[in-house]
Amino acid sequence: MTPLFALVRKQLVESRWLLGISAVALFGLIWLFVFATNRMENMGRARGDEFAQMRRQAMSRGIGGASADGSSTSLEIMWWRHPFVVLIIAMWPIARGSAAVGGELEKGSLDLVLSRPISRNTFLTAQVLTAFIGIAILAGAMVGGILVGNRFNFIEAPPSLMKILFPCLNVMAFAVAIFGYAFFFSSMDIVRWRPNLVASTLTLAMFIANIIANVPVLENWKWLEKVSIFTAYDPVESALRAARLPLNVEILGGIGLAGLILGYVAFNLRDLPANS
Amino acid sequence: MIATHGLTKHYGKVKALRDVTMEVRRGEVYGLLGPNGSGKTTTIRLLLGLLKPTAGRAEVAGFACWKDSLEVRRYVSYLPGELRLYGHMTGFGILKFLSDLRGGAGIDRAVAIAESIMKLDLRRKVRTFSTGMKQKLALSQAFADPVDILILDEPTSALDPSARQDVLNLVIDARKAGQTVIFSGHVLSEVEQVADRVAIMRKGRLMHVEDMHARRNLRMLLVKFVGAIPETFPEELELGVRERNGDTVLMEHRGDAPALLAWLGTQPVADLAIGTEDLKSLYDQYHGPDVKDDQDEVNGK
Repeated sequence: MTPLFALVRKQLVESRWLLGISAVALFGLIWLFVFATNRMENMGRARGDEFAQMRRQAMSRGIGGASADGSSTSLEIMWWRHPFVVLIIAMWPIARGSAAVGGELEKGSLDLVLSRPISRNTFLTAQVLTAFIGIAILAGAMVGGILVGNRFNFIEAPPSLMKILFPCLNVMAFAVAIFGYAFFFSSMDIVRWRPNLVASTLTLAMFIANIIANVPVLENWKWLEKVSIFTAYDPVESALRAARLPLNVEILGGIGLAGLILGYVAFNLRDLPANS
Repeated sequence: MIATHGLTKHYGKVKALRDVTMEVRRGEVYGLLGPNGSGKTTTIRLLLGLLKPTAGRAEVAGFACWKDSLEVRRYVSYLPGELRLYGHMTGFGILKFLSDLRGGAGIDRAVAIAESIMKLDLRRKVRTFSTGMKQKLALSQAFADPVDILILDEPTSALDPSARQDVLNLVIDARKAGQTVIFSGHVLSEVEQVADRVAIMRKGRLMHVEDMHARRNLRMLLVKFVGAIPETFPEELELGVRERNGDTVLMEHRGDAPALLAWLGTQPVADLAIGTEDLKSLYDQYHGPDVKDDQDEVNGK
């Protein structure tokens, strides 16, 4: 077994509970939201008036963003912006990012690994690969949740797999961005709690900034959109038109990549003291 | 095999290591002695390339420790002083993981050492191991690695007496196999037992390097003369005066015993005691209760 694979396997085994529970929770939540979509559509059909259609549109825009049009696809995908879903998606990259260096140093296990002929870059690459595998699994759980939900619930015009894969790409880029900055903070630290706290606070702050920026009566705060990664997290738009998807993925991927590059540089230049 | 030149490490205002120059020869066991905070672990971490020197340089097998850290670690197996293993793995899982990080080398030997010498049950989860058992597990891997250099940071600190002796035997075997060993520790008798040379560190400085083979030939003579102590002693006897007290003198002797006895027979000796000196006496010269805090010396060789 190559050293890189051995490290990735060890980290996946170590974090299997967080990853497993997050994936199951996402799968279950998304399935539940498909059921909720089914109920909303049923209610709309039962009333059959224009008001029901408007309410459906308003709700999908309220949660899913300005691109939402009240279609089955937008109703299903809008839930991907629900705080519960965002929280679960964000937990994994923050946990893995903050554990990457600070966590290993704090535990004292970094000594054991880096006393072997493992380059610092190989060590970090194993951390990044682990995080990316986890992100792919979480995104897969969301896709699975919709597909399975659609099998068991009647949806007027369920999205095709392709339409689900676009927002899935957006979700993955979003998680990569969060992992990027958490990883960077961790690469400079000697404990896990601090990068964890900083990355969590930053993510929460950007979430709030995005909400404030989109409150209609707070026009003067619209600029906050520009400092929030949540602006580039628009799964409904990705599913319906995907016009902004390439730019959104570039922005989120760019943030993630910048974090990774800075993290690699910082880790290669720093001292690695004995565990704190 | 290992060399440092003016190696210095500062953490902000804290001077963890100061201008350390030393050389470890191929195939020798080199003891590193000193109390906590004397710079032993910092030296080791600098050798492994885990820390960047503030000044000076360190080389292992011709590779610069910071710049070519990866190459250095191909030659070195290291047992950390503060050992942390992954509790969710079994004993075998740890050995497999560590050997995988070295391309799969040494796993059979590591298992053999762990089971037959260390008497470990490798099917158990590491979280159920005692501290000593964890140390034995890591030691099994360290001694099994096919490397030229072993760096053992307090390798016996958590072990019972019989396991300690097993570890010392493994160190001796490693030397016989041509491996170079750096053995850092606090138990002087253990270091004395296995080391070819011993470095004594104090407050980040290398105070003294003692050749243990020469030291094993050292005799301490306590001689009470009738009348005055001679002003000088014959040079060929290699006698050194450690302490004079009235008509009694404490001397150290590293030379030929028959020549010494013959000379003593010609002297007006009232009483005589001949003994050896353990490492503690040397250690106490740098760390004993009489040593002042500001006492610093230049590097020994």
